[in-house]
Amino acid sequence: MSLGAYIHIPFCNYKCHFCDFATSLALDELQDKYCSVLKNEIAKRLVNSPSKPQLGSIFYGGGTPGLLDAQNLYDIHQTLLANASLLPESEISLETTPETITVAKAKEWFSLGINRLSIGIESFNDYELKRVGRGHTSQQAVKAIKDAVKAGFTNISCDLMYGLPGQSLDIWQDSLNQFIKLAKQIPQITHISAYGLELNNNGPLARIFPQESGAYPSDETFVAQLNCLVKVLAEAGFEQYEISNFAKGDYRSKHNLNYWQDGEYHAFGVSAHRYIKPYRSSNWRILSRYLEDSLGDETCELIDSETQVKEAIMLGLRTTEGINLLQFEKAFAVNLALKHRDLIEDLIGCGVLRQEADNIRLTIAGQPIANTIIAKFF
Amino acid sequence: MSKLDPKYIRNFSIIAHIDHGKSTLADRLLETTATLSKREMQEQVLDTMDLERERGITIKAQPARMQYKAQDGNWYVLNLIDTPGHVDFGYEVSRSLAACEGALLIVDATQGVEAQTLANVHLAVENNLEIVPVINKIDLPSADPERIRHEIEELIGLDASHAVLASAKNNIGITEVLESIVNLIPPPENTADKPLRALIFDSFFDSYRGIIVYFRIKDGQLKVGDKIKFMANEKSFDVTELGVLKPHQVKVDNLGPGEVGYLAAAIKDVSTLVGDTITLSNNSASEALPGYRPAKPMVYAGIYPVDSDQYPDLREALDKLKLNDASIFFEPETSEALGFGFRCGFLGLLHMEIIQERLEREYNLTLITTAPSVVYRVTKTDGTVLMVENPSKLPETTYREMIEEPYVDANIMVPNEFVGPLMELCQGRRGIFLDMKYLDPRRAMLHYELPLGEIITDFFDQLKSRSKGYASLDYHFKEYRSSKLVKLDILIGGEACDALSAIVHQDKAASYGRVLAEKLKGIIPRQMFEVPIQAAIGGKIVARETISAQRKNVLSKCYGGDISRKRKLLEKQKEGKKRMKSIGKVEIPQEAFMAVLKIES
Repeated sequence: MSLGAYIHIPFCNYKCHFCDFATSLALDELQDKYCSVLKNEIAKRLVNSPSKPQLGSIFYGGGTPGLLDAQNLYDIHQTLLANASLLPESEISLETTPETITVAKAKEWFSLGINRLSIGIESFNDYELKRVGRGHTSQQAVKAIKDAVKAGFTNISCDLMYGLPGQSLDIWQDSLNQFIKLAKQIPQITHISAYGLELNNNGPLARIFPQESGAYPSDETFVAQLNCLVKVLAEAGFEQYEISNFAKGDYRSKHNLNYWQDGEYHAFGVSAHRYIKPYRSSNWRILSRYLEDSLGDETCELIDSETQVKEAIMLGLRTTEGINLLQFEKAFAVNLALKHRDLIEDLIGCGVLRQEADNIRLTIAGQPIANTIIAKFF
Repeated sequence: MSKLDPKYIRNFSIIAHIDHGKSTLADRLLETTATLSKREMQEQVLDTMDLERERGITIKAQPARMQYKAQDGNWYVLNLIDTPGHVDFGYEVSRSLAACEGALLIVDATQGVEAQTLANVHLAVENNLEIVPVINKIDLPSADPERIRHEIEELIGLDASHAVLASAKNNIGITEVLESIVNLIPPPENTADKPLRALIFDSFFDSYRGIIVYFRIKDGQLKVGDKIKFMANEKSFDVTELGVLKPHQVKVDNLGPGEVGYLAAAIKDVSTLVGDTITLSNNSASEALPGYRPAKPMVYAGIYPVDSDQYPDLREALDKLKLNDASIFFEPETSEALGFGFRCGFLGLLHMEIIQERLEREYNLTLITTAPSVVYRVTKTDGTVLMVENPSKLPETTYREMIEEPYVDANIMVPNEFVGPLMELCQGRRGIFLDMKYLDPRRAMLHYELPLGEIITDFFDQLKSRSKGYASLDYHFKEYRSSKLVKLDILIGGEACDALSAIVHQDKAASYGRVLAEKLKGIIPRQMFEVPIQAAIGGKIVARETISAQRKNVLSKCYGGDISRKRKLLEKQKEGKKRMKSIGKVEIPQEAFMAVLKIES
């Protein structure tokens, strides 16, 4: 099993209305301080490892890691590499927004060793982008991707969102079509993450467009948007491998797959979550608290075998591979087919689950109600 | 403790309508007699159950012994046996009264005598109790003590000239209340030489000492080490602990005639103790004390564990609760929809709610209660007569000659301006108007005959809401009468759900079915598939609603590897499902089984 590392960079130029992450806008004054605390945390945590960790993936997430000063990013990355080694063909991703990308900047990232960019495109509709508080236009997004390619990137992932306020099925379809057109021109676009909006009731978006305001697509439209997404992307050669993730050929995200396959991962930075068996733990979510106590836990949970089984079901059913019942029994000593025989039969009867040989997986009809289905196995 | 002369003992209870200030007065008496220190005092101190404090009502009578130095210079022992005020708990009241020589009648100076108070006073008078009227809340601006005095004399026929004017809340007239207890309530007889006879008025289970018995000694004496005998149960035990209730337990060595106390005697399996007489094994009384009117359940409902593994726990819990509340009745029952459970009999709706809550809280159970039903008397075509307390057990139409239902005699006291709306309510519930009396220029008493089945739905809520809370109700069983009744079945996802069947009047059945189906549609959450809900009378569908399939319940993203958060969210969803019961493949929440109650007729 592979080992991952996640580094959280909380800084943004602006805060998107839908965002629920630990982010902070006060970039300039805090950046150096944050980076030095972060480097310190990385070194302290890894030096205690019994053997030098061998990383299969690194993910700089945020926030907007692309905003980091090149020197800071370099220092952080070197600290990591000094305390861990990289497996061959490891995936090193950096998340950023279109407006942070220039050819020069992308070249710096590339020379640092970043080999995958994850770009928050979100939508190709400028009106929609403005409405959810993004600071870029669709034109900027297109340019950003092209600049990344010029800098040498061959593995680019784009984020899109559906279920947005005012987003009809047609508007969504239009965004998707523009994306496909672009992806056909630029084969370096290898991956897409498409997220249905989850409204955070305390966030700005809920204040501007409250849940019951009628601004959001109906459940029916939401489901149609998901169906459309899966269909259009499949036609363009992007195969769905998890409810929200699609990839061409071998370009599935190693870092994400590791989350979903019960893999371990280190995590550094404010609010970052790690899984080093048998504990899942997370750093302080409040920035000031983290800066004072970067090795302290905000949460720490022992994952016992029962919990492990639940997680494996939850994560497994979200992937299109589904769950291999034989492998599952081997790994967790639980025979799901036996334990949940009636449930599996019912779900198949409802058309939301499919069983082929020793594999169970959600059908396209099951995906929009994945929570309901997974909870039944708990 | 030295032997106490009965002439210095006063045993009394308190009769009051809900909210007229009974628990507050009890608090003041305890304070004034320094029975409890300031530190130990809290509001409603005798209401020991959390449930009672939360709801502001008294469910269980909790005894308290006070010592009071009267103005005649003598010390007296005052035993208060608090009583519940709700119509459902008339049984508890009668038990408390049987242990007393007198009762305080508390009437709110702004409200007047209420229907339930009237019924309890009559009970007290039947028990030859001396009644001391106390007019409470006299310091409120709208207080009218003279009118209330008049009302007590008119309605109850008591001499109210000596009524104490008090405000328990503001400590007015408390000494006068204590003096009246000493001077007006007769002491118990001194029968120390007679063989022991003590009346058991309460009992509960203690996991260390076995069953604890609360009693009042009528004749004779009792000491630690005595071998006692329960006369009805014919079982003997050695008294290991004896004490008084102050109101917490305080051990003593002996108790004499007129005294109230508790005992422990390593008593394990004794079924019904309350109402039984304690005597001594070697010097037995020849005759037991009269018990009291045994409680007759008026309302029946099925109680089922949501998780069938809890069935044995539920049985044990009911057994234990029965010790504490003898009025519960239960027997095993099986439902196709709900599995194994118990058909339980209760004194009324509030009683039922309380029992369910106590079972869940005190015994950690998760339960489903079906809609309550009265007991129908069914004559079959072959002439046999059958008592049916579960609608699903009603014989098919072809085997039925006649269905009779219980009717009650109901008195409703109501301010004049609400007479119209309440008459409408009674009419809508198939009530038969008997008469109406004007009690005074402001209030009237409506006298109706009503089918009990119509009262145990939301009648009481309606009564209160249509009278802005001012109406009060009292009722007694009258007789069984033949009615045009039919059985209404509910089908969920095409499967009949026996636990939702109801017996309703023929003229109302179709509209009732429609409303119920609509209600259920609102209560049953969307499932993964479409769920039809149908109401049927004798196989004929009279209403149909459809719950469309759930469309969306998905989380997009595992936030930066935060798997725990997502898992916990799903665990919470699962937790919510635990309170649901599956009928076929449909998950139904507990409220669905009570939906029947909320149907406006």
